[in-house]
Amino acid sequence: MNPLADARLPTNERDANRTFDDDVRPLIVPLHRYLRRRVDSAPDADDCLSEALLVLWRHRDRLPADVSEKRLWAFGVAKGVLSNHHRSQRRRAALHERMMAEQRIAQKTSDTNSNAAVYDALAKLKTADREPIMLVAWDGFAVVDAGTLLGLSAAAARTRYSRAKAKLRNELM
Amino acid sequence: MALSPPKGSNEHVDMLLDAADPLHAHDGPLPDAEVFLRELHRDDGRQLAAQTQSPPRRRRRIAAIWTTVVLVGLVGIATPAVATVQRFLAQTGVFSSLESDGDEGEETEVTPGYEWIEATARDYADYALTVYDLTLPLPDGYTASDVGIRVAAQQVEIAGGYGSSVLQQESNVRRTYESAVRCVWISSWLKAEEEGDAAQQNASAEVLLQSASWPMTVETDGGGVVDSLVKYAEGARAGDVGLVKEAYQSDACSTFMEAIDE
Repeated sequence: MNPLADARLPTNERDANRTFDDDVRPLIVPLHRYLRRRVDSAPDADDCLSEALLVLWRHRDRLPADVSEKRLWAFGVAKGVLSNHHRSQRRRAALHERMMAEQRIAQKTSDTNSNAAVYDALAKLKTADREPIMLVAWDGFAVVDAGTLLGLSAAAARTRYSRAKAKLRNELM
Repeated sequence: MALSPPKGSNEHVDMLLDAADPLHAHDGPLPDAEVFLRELHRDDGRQLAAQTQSPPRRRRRIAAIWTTVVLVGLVGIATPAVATVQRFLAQTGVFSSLESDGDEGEETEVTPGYEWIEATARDYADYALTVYDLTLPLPDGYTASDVGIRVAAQQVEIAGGYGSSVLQQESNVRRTYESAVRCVWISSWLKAEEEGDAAQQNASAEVLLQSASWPMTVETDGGGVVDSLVKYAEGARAGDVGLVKEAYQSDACSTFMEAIDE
């Protein structure tokens, strides 16, 4: 926080800011990476992260004390922000369609063959199957935690993940 | 040298996934956490200052009117003669007051002056009904209560799937209803086209054109949405099935119609 602005705050607010910052600081890079993998550009990821942080700040009283629960909570908020972002993008889909298609083509041509095959295989999965795979493989979540983030029980998460993984393997073979 | 896992094994799939992490293709500097935190506190301070002001009187009056109208019209509950703004758990009491920094071309999904609503709150659907705009026209066979209740129920279901907090602005709740009603008309146009009902097609096309000026559609237009709606409506007027189907897709109508036609 800006030290000048910090000095003007009452002690309790300053403490609240510092506690929140300490809680959230380690999550900023993982959240940014999570968002960056799911939006089209780095500025979009920055915007989504800023919005997620604002939501977390506004709900700082509800932030769980436990570190892993805090991480899940923060990713849950980021997921909601991402959903809003995608919804707004869908509304603009017609306008951005050509630009997006060009971006996708550019990205594909720069991907290696095996990466392109993975993207194609992932694209063939339903969102409900794709997301647990991405959360585990790319965002470092345990299967059960990824399930929690997606609103699934532990058993349902394991089933969904293993079914999705099998589908992905079949697509890749 | 490490051996590659056998093709087709779980380990092989994991290896391919790891190599395909999109972030490998976007290697760049890591985001600076301090910059984001500094911006957060700067923006939040500015917004909190603005929030200490009351919401605009007109908006409060409209909210009070709609609360009364919707409770009587949709749910059939008697209301007191003097309406008060109904409070729901879904209402956070936090209003967005983001001000532009004057950065030309900067877009934000935040609509200034609207309250943040918690979509996972247990009374979200009750809240949503209070902001349903009863002036939105519907074709024969559809009622405001059906659309209002079913779309709200669907939003609850979607938000519940996140398993955590889902905040959206009141403007978004209202816009969702406008989008849903627009979808009903797009669907009506497509059905009329299949049945060769030119009168219904024309009527639907006219409403689609009007829908480009519905208040939340206009207020939340981040750039070009209204223009594209006008384009689609003109396509509907001209009998362009392809364009109307594109409108159906671009507004995610199948999701809404699934709930509405349930």
